Amino acid sequence: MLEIRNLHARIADEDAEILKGLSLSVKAGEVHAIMGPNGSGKSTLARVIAGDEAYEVTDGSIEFGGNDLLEKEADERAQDGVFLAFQYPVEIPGVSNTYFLKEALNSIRRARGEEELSASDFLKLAREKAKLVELDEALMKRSVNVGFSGGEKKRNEIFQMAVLDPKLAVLDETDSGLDIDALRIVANGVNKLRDQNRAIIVVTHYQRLLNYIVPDQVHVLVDGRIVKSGDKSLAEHLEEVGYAWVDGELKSAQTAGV
Amino acid sequence: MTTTMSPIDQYSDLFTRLAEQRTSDPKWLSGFRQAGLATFQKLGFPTQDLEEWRFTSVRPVAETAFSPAEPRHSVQASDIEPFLHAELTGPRLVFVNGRFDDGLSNVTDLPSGMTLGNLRTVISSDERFVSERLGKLTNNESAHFTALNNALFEDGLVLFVPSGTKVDQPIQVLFVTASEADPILTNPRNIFVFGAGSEAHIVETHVSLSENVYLTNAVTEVWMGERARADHYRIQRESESAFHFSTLRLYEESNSHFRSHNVDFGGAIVRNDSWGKLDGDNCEATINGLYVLRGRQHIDNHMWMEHVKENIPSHELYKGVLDDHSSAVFAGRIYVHPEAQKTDAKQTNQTLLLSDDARLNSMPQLEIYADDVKCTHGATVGQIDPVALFYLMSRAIDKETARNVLIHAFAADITERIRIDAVRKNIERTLRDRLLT
Amino acid sequence: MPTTAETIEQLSTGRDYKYGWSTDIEAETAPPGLDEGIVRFISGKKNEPEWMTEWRLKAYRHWLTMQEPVWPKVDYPPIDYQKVSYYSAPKKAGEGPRSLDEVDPKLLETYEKLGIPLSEQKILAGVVAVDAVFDSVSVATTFKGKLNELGIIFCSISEAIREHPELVKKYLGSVVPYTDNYFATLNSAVFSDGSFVYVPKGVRCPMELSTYFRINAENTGQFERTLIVADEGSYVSYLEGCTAPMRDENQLHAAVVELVALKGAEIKYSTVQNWYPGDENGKGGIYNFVTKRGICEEDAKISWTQVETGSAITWKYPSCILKGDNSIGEFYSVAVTNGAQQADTGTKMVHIGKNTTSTIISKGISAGRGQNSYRGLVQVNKRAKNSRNYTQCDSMLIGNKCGAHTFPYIDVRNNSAQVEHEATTTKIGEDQIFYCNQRGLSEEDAVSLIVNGFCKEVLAELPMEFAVEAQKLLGISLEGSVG
Repeated sequence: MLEIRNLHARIADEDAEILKGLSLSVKAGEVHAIMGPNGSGKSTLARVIAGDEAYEVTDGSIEFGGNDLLEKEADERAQDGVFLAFQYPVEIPGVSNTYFLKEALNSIRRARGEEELSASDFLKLAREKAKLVELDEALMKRSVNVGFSGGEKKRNEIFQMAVLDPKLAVLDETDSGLDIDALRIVANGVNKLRDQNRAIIVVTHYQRLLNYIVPDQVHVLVDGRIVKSGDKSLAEHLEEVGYAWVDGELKSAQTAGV
Repeated sequence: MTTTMSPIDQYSDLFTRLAEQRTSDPKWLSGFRQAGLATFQKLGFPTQDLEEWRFTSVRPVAETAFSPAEPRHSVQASDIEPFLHAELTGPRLVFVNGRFDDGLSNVTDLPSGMTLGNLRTVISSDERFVSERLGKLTNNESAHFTALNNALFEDGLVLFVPSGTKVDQPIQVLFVTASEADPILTNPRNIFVFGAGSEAHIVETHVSLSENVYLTNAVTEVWMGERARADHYRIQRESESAFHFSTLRLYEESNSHFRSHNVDFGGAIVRNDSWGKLDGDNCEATINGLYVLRGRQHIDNHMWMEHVKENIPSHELYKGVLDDHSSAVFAGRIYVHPEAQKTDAKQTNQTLLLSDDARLNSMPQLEIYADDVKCTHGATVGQIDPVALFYLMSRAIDKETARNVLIHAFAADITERIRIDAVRKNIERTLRDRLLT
Repeated sequence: MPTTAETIEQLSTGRDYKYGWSTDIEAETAPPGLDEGIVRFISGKKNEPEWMTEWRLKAYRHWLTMQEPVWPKVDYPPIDYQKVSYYSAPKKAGEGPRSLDEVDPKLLETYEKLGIPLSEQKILAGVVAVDAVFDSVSVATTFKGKLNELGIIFCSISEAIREHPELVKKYLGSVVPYTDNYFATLNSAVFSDGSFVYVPKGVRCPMELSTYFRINAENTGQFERTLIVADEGSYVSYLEGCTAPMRDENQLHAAVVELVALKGAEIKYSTVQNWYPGDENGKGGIYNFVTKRGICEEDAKISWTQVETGSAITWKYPSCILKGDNSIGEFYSVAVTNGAQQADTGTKMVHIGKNTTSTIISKGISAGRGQNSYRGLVQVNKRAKNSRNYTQCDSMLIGNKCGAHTFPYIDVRNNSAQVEHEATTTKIGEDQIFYCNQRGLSEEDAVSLIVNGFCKEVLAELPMEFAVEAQKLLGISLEGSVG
């Protein structure tokens, strides 16, 4: 479903590369975890997949469902089924959560040539999905993310994911700033959305989240490249030995000329 | 004393008389004064038809025949003692009726390269320093009172702090008006130049030894070099029959920060114009004001802050306490140029009306041409919060005391920002005395 | 927000003005120029009584002594008032139709195109009564009969002058005297038509009353005059919409609206102003110089809501004179300037009575090279004990060639007053747009959504049918402003 080859990227108008030749292949139905220390390029990868213009791709390619993803604008990617759960969800004063999501969903449906949902059908769908992530219905009426607690914001992201029903979901540090109860609620929500037609990429610094969302594959991202891949035991190993361990791996990778 | 002559004739006449005493002035200075007179002749005194003067009538000023003070006076050190901050042991400069008084002043032990003296002396000792700066920040054709000052100024303070020099002790400047039978006018003219990375504090006080009618018309030009820091305190305690006009012109280069605090207690009609041109990235400006009025006092604070470059914070906080029939005007304008991205400007005017006959006009304005900016302004007007008053009284505090406590608390927003203890205490004391009478 | 189809349609033609077509209709138009003869001509055309003609002439003579104001923050070349035609009427309309059957079918078609159905059976029964003003004359007023039963008068001002002279004489010029200001005085001399509403004591008007104004003829000024009188304890909600064809020349619109809310009455006045704004280079467009003012007697309330997206120049300050004790004034405004548009708009709240309250919520949006100024006066007079005002002025800038300005004037003369003013400036964040994009919304839709959120408090004040229209307009008028 997702095929990333030799991806190089930097912040637009800055010289330093953040992603330095990253390759990754994700199939439908799989859950991949991307782990790495701060500054390794995890969030950059998430943003580049979603099409944030603040980042510039200098080399490499991303294919999604057989099409060139990089050619498309962020909204077209979303319409194609790419979803990013933001590390820091953005506040939009005055725009109600419900209205926002209805517009988003109908925009995606139009792009797919589907009928728009009526207000009442949408509300029915939204209520149903809200239960999935245990989102208080009162939050649906409030302005998008305005005055939400950290946990509510993250839950709201997963709620949006549930409603928009993407093919590929990238969860960018969805666990950051969550206490254990909130983490479990969010993870449960994600697990309910696991599906053989959907791929999920979980970007995280800690292994903690992976206790709840068990990945099929784990990749370690260091200095803009994936230096190690494996199954979920790799995450557990990392938790034990820390990221210092991968520095060594990195050095050996460099000497090996990878 | 009123006059039948038109103000323009009157001041033209005065100019001619003074010119006879100024034959030793260098040519450029005569030209400068002449240009000032010409502008004033064109403008005259402002009328209320002008937007900038809508709420302030200067008719009483225009209709009074002022004359320059006689050079002789009999002011003793003991006369001015109550107005000096004794705790401040640094340099002290005293001007009496607009002229520097060597005997009452004390300027010693200056860091090397620093200039601190009176304008007349510096004109002769370092003519170029003055000619390169005088009037360079005031070229505004519509500034009536600045034009008059240009034509008539007698003396004033010149300060130059060389690059990298930090002056620890605050510099004290006292402008004293001594009693005379006829209304006199003085036109203090000050120049402050801060070199790169320099730092100094100035405490400027205007006082009167009588309750007579007179006119003070001061103009101050300030240059802030890169990374310079300056704190300026202007405490105005003129006679309540006097007219006080002051203009501050500020120019800032990158990373500098000028902080000015203006406290006004005196004057029958007071007008303070503060203009800042923030012309360097990351510089910062703070202009605060506190005014406490009674009787029929009137104050008009005009503030214009021009953000030219990027990433500049500016803060303006003006607080007023108005009693009896007093009235106040606040007009602030934050002007953000298209290039001045990341501006962070905040302008606030808060007024406490103690009497039902007091009047306030507030115009906090924004003019913004850049999109990535944070500009806010706010204005509030009201009386002492009856709930707070009741709360204090319910704790056995009498009404008068409770009221004073709340007024002090209101003013504390400004007084607490005054970093020199002696100055802050002095202002708090004056405020307390004022509330008791 | 606009649907995608609409957005695409708009995008394909650039930043388009939807109502820019003109109607080819035979009109009777006065020659350009203004003198006493023209004033008499207009008055004569309308079969006005002598007192009305005299009032107009007094206004005209006074106007000759006045100067055009220069204080607004707007720039435009001098207007040659002798080149404007002060009267234009569709020929067939004659003295105004007696029923819809008499209205020129082409006119009805025009209003259909505008989405203003004039045929009564097409209007959901009892929702909106419409008075439509085409150039200088009122062409149709619907639902007259039904309103008549309640004693409500809703007709053109010309008709009111003839049929209800006692009411017009009493109230015309009572809020905006003919000497008031340059444009209001001009209007007093040459006003052509407009709406008149009288709601009797204790009557709640059961439907929204609406006037749709359209300037059609070239080189024609439109000078409508609206007078609404709500008698004691009555209520009325009034909507006003405006469009004009695209023309290269600037057209002058100088209207006057007077509201009188007697004891305990409430008037809600909503405007969606979408006059032609001119093209991107500032060519053409309407000069909109409008005087709107209402007076509140005891316990009365006047609420102004405006969404101003059109016009090359907007100069407009809907105001409230809070004369009676406990009266209430409200002003909710959204003003958008894009392209080369300039707006200087705001309100005056004059507190005279005791315990009077006013609220001002102003949202200014600047894009393109637009200049948007809020100018507002809050005056609390000596008698106005315990009066309150709250003002909030928010500006949003889109791009760095536009300007957003705030000029509040606060004048307080008694110490029991409480006046609060707050203002903020924001931009649309790139992060907000990306967030919307990521959820599948296009840039245009994202801007429209964020702007509508920004204006929410004001849009919420509009009657339902108008709110939808206004939201669409906001989206359309900001198209092409980002990116």
